[in-house]
Amino acid sequence: MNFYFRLQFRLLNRQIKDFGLHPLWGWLLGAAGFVLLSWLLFSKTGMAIYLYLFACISWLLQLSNRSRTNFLRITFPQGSLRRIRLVENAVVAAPFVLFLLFKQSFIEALLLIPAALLLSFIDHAPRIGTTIPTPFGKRPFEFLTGFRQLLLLITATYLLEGIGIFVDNFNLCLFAQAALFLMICSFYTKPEPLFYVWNFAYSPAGFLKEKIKTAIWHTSILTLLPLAALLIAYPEKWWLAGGIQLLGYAYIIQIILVKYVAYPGEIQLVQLLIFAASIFFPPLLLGLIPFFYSRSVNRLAIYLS
Amino acid sequence: MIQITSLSKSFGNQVVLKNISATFNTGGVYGIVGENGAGKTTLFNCIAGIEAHEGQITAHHTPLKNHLGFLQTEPFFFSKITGAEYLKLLCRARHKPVVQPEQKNIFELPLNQYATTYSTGMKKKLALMAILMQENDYFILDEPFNGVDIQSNLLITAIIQKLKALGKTILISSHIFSTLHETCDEIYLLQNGSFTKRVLRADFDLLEQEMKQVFIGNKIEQLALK
Repeated sequence: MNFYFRLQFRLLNRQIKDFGLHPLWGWLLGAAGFVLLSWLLFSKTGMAIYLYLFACISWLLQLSNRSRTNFLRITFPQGSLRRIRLVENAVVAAPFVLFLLFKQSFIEALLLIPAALLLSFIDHAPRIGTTIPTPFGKRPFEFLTGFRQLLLLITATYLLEGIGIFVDNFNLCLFAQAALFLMICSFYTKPEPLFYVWNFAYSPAGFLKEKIKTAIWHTSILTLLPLAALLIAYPEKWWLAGGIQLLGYAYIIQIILVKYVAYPGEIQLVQLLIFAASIFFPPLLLGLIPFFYSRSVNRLAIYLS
Repeated sequence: MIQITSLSKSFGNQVVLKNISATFNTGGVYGIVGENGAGKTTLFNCIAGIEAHEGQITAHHTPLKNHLGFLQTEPFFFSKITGAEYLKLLCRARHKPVVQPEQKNIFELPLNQYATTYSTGMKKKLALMAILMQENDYFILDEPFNGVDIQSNLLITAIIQKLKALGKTILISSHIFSTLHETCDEIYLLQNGSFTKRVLRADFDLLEQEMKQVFIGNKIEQLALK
């Protein structure tokens, strides 16, 4: 069992190294990022506690993934399997519990501990057997797979925006809209296998144009409902809602280009930091989008003619 | 036709393909055999343009990659993509309309289910269906019979024969010699990164005998099974 955890630690360190960081820096930045995001969430909305618990439980359910738990079951004796699952869930829940204690949410923190341990007894995360219908079938694949994977979270942002309108909190609505755009950006953060790019009978520029066109169209479909609700509820703030929408499009275009700059490798830390910088200082987009465009065209020229 | 001239490929210091030359004619079916690690998949990746290489690969239809259907040994599928959506994705990639996939579903695949829930054989059949629907002129079939049931093996053999009749150029690798025997016009033996033998259909039996002698030899005795 000890070897299993040492191995997991080593694998995580390798992932951090592949990301271009020394493992120590990776752990420090990861911890700082977690605290920063938690703090941001709690400073933006009174619903943060529910979102926080939801995020923790979603993560714990990921550990109950069927193929993963099947592997553990055929590899370890029953006793070791239980201990492994308990320790894993405790490790994942620990930072959430600590932050909740820091925020003096004692009841929630104390409830999360037994909940996390109990979830370790679920060996198969609920799997939706039927195919989830989507409006994105005509142009697979990022929105198809992303929408189905993040359906619960997308629904949560819709609900959050609804709550924002109901309690007349415009900032909460904007937060939900921004969260939705971040989720859409996440559809494009993982490089697809080379086979899928190779298959396209497009020039690099044509390929990127097609990707961007599809992304904008599908983003419009996914954000239409919350945007319309926002415009109806706050018609006088149309410029702010519209501005966020346009910025969202720009960030999605940028993340597509960033993905193909590093392709077929993973997005590098430097590019991710530049992306993050553009969130804090949007005018950077004016220079970054053409820059990443020319870099990604060069990169794709290796695989597309 | 695909013409390969002086193709070489190395990964660092490791030479995987050494000065390979071959001509694969229109309407020809060519088997590529070799041990695991002989370089078959690297050769296919070079032909497909996925790997950079030394030497030249030319074809009548250019660019070759846009007219090539590549069935990989282990096709990858995104999670939560259905069979029908996968077909659509690959057809769209080649500007081909997806015409009645249900009607072309000769393997009777559950096209509305997620492809990741398919068995190994079903995944292979879905990937094969996709490259057939792309209406390619060239095909690389890397282990097309692997993990596929006997009935579908018969069907795949018939498909290859039909493609040959339609004048397509087909390269196949298989570890099951009988499948190559039935479909190929020529077999190339790839050893240590080079084609060491080119055998015409009339001599397939001889090649099989020779391979048995070379690759089995006294290895069973060496195992000292008890």
